[in-house]
Amino acid sequence: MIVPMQYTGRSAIVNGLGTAHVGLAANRLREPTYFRGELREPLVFREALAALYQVVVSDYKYRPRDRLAFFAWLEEQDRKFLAGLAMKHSKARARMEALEARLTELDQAHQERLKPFHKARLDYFNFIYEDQYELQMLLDPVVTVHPDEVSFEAFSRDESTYARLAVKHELFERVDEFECGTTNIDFSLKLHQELERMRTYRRTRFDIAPEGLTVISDAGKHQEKKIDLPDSWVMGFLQVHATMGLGLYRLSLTPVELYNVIRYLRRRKARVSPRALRFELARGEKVKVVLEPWGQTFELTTPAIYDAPKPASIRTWGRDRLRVLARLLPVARSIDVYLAGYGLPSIYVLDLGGVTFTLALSGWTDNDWTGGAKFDLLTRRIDVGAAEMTTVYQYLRQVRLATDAVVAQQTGLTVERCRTALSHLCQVGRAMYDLKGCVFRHRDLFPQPFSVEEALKAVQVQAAEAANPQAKAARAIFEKDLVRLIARRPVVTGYKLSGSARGGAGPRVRPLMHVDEEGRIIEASCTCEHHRKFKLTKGPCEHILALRLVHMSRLESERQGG
Amino acid sequence: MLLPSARFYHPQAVEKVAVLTVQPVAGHADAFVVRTQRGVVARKLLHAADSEPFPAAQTAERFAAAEAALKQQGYFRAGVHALLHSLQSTNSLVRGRAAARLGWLRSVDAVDALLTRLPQAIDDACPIVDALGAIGDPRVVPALRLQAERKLLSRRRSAVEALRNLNDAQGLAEARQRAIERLPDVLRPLVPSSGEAEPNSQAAANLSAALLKLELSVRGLALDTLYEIGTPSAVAAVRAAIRQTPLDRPHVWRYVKSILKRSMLRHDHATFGDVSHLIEVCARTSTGTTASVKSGYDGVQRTTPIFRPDTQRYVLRSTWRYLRMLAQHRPDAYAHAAAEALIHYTAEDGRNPRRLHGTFSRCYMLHRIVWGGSRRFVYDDRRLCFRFRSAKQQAAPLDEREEAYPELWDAQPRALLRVLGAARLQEVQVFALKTFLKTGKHRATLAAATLPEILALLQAPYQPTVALGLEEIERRFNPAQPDWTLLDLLLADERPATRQLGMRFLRLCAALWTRQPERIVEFLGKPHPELRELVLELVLPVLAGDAALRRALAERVLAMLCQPEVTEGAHEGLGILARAALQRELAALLDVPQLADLILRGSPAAQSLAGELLQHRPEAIAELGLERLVALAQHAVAAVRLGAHALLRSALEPLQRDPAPLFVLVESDWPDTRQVAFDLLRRLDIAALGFDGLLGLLDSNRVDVQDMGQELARQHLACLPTADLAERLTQHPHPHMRAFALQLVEQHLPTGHEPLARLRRFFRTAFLDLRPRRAIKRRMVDFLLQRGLQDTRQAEAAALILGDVLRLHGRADAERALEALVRLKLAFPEIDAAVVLWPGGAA
Repeated sequence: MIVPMQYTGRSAIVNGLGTAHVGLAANRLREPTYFRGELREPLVFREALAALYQVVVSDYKYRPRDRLAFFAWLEEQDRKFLAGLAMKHSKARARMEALEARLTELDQAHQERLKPFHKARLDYFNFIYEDQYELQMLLDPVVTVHPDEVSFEAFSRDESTYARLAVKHELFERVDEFECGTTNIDFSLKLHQELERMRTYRRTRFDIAPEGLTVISDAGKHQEKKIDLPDSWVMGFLQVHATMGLGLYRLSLTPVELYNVIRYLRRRKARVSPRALRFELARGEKVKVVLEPWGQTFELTTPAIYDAPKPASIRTWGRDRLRVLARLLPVARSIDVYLAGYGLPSIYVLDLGGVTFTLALSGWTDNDWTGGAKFDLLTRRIDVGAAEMTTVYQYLRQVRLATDAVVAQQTGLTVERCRTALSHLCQVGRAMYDLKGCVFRHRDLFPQPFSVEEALKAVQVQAAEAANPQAKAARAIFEKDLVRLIARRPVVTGYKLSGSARGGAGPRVRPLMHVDEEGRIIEASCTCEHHRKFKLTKGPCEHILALRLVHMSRLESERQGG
Repeated sequence: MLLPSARFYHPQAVEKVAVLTVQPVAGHADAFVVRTQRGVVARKLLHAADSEPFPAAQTAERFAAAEAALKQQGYFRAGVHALLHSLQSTNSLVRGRAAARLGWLRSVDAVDALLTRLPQAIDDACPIVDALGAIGDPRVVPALRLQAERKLLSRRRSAVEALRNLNDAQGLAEARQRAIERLPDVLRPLVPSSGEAEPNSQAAANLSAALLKLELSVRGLALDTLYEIGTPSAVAAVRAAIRQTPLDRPHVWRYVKSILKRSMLRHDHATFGDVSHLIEVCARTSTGTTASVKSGYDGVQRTTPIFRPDTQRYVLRSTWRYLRMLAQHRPDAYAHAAAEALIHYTAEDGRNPRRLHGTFSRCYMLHRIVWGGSRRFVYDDRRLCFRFRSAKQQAAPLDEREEAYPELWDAQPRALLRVLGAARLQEVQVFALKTFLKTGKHRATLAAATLPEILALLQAPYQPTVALGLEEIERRFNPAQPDWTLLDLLLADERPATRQLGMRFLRLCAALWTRQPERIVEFLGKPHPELRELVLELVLPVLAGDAALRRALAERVLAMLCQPEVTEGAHEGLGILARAALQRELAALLDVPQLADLILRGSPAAQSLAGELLQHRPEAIAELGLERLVALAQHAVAAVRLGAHALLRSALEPLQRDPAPLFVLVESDWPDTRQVAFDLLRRLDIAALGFDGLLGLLDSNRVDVQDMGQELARQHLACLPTADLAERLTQHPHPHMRAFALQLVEQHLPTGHEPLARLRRFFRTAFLDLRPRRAIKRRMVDFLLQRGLQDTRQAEAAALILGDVLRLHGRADAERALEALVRLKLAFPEIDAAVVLWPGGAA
């Protein structure tokens, strides 16, 4: 997918004696969106933008080392050893050794002589890499101006980390004017370095405007970028919000506690598996964070005692990605951690006082947001039409942010239907879920206006989901009546289900599940091979989904029967 | 010269056999006679009659006259009568073979019989049409045009190629029109015009690219149709595209086979060699496939084997059969066709030798041509491979010729030259060179060869061949009257050996060209750096003593540098020459605005030269102004930066008045520019910088600029508002600045709790750094303790910060913080701290 961007000016910062002016150039190809104000806490904003930049450039994917040179050296050593064995005459051996020594000397001198050249070449390649990377690969952050905040969203280079920086209007001394909407801003390494000069002793104006800061740029100079975005990138961006809608465990950390975890990780290298960050949630005890494989345990101070009904032990991988938060720790007031489950995404929400920084990490680093886990299968969706989708979209666009209940009340749809429609809108990039505020917000990720065709397409996404092998197999099991609901127990949070199912030629298995009132899977397990191998990291198995289908059909008939 | 001979047969006469030979006349070097001998059988020829003696030039004419006389008497060429008889056979296979044979014999006597047979021919129609085309009698054109209109590929192919052999322009034009209509839409506009004489490389490349974009299901037909059109560019495009097309696929193979057949009918040896080698290579790895395809013969869809081993063997045998027929019936063409077949073999065609199978045992055509006359090998017809007769036979005999048809190679040394210039396999080179030298005509052949043919020898993978080429080039080159074209070709060649030779010649004729500015500029424009070095080495001494030449050359060089570079780096040599020897002359030709313009628009070499000239122009400071000098000091070309640096160094006075440009330069990405800015800053009066200027340096994200700022701040601390400076520097995000900021805080932070409380973030940042410095943390704890012990409110502020440190995982930090907190708590028990003191004294 090619994303074109056009900027009239360049984003920059101008520092004067007592004032500073941060001008972020907005994409001219998007709807006119602007914001002008004066920052009250420039340092917090500076640190948050620095962390966002760290996310954008971070790439923690595992890449095996290139060991060709080492193997060539090893081969050379073998050859020399064998040559030495074959050489019987002591004089010849001595001569050979002398020549080898001389050769080593010459090689060293050669390397020494070439050092400046190699350094210059490396610098040149680095420059080209950075330059071209920014021009061709780095998607500028997506900025959305809301009535109550300005948010910046970005995705990491390895597509495993999502970050959202939300700056409340309260962080501004004065808000002059703004126009709600979504756009991109011109963002570069140079700008990141310039932003480091923000200080409290300078009154700092903050502008997001199409012209950027033409004061220091060449007047009238246009900059154009065409970023070739992988589809997985876009899909990942959308999947994040599907994850946020799941039933999540919530914990709290102090900045010092997270610092202790990150510091411990930085100082050690795990040489054996598992390399997980394990959260131990035991009722009546303090929450523990365990760093594997060392077994290093940190007890969390807030909340003092974990009082949720069921204990859990949740492992998440790719913990090194937490380092991107390093700059935020000194300014953070509190940190909320949301966990989806074993090997599933984890979300860290940092409260910086007027600024909220949300960091969402995929289950593990090599698992991008679209690669394996099918989070949308965990949620249950009902059929909504294009007209309903359009109604919900129009309302959200009008008010810019609302909870699902409010949307339902205002549009006259049921809450469940509204929730599904909002979930679809999140999936097509027309809305986002604000985890901190528990509201849906309007955000057009793409410049094209929302249309009925897109609404239809969004609805068809549901059909595409049905094409998912697990969902398809579940439907087949359900229709062939190969699934039985053995027990159904209502609990405070929904229902606990137990059943037995048999798919295709496989043996009969026992799915167990905990769903909420809307059919969203909170917890599930199964005795099948798929679940044993992947748990929920690649989405639920067909037996779990089939059991949910039985449950929902029974629930519906009960509701109809009054 | 091969003397012709022919045998004739009379079905009714008593003396059924007659033999015509050309015999030299004894005692006369250039006199020959045509001898006619007759007899009942060929072994017993009794009556001989000789013609009048004639010179060698009339041989063909006299021989034809004697043949015509015999034919008038009712004689047929030997075999023709039997073949004509076979045309009446009830077996179409027999009829077809007879027709093909008659075609190779080019027997005009058979035309009527073939034409009579053509209307009712079905399976034998193609050989008949091929034969009519090969015989070349114009009477057959109408019948062939009718065949060319047929839809069936085999008929159409034979007829069009026959019309081509007959040079029937009208028939070919009609066939071309029909062929263009058969082509896909994307190819039609790219078809070259019919009048094309030489291949156009651009047109061929476009056509080839378009062919490769086609689906395989239509590409085969398009390839064959373009080859049928047969213009040089179309043929070149087909040859390029076919190399990147998998041959063993349905809808492709039948057309590849068709192209091979056309190349044989057309005697297009280059295409024949190319395609036959491609088929052989593909046959080594592919066993083909089976597909349901529609037959062109009867239009029925049926399951058909595609490129199966049987087909592969049949086609490969047919290629060698073609060469054999050439050797027999067109002996002059054999060596040229065989040469084209040989040149495509490379070392990759070989495989590891195993037992009696040598490296090239699976290279069918290579073996047939190069070792076809050898008795060392046994041929396995089923697998189309050759093995040594015995282990002893693996060594090649020294004086025995092993190639097939050695006399035909000897007669065509140009074919051997082609092999030497194009073959990439050493075995082929060895054969060709040995044969070439043995012909005794190699000197004359080399002398008559074109320059590209000789240059091709230098690329041979066989050193003696390269030596042969070098020897010939050296023979041709005269340093007193150099062939500039040859020299140009040698110097522009990509092969180092060729360029080395060119450079040697260049050195030899240096006296001629080093005084010609045009030639110097031309040689310097060549892309190879070693050539530039040589030119400079030869030219610079001459320029040193010749002012007029320097002036002329400077004007020429300047004119070139003002033009945009044709290729990247084309001005490099000119720039070096100008900087080394023409600076004075160029300085006289260029003023400051022109130099600035050259820096703005010129090539890197021109920019570099202009930068060097600029540093000797002090008036540029006033003319360009400080702002432009600052821009030049950040230029990507080092010489331009150096020029700007030199000027900036002498502009101390204006910089003293307004040091703002220096603050831009210290943030430059170029270390040399930053260094100049630092030097200048050290020379300036601190008053000129002011507090804000100094803060600008300290605020930088660059460590060296921060160091510079610290150095200046330390020197002039007495005249700076230190408390303000300390508080401002605590907001610096860079860890490098933290120690200096802490030092200022320790020494100059105003008393009272408010200034201390404002620094909470500074202390937290230092304590929560992922790469902390222990010394700084210790100093901070000590400082907090010291300030906390001063009064209650400062103690509270310090306790708040130390409370965070207490929870850090590092034991040393936590213990120091705990100790500090306890001491604070002991001093001021009322403060709210993270520690509680128990009555017994424990914390």
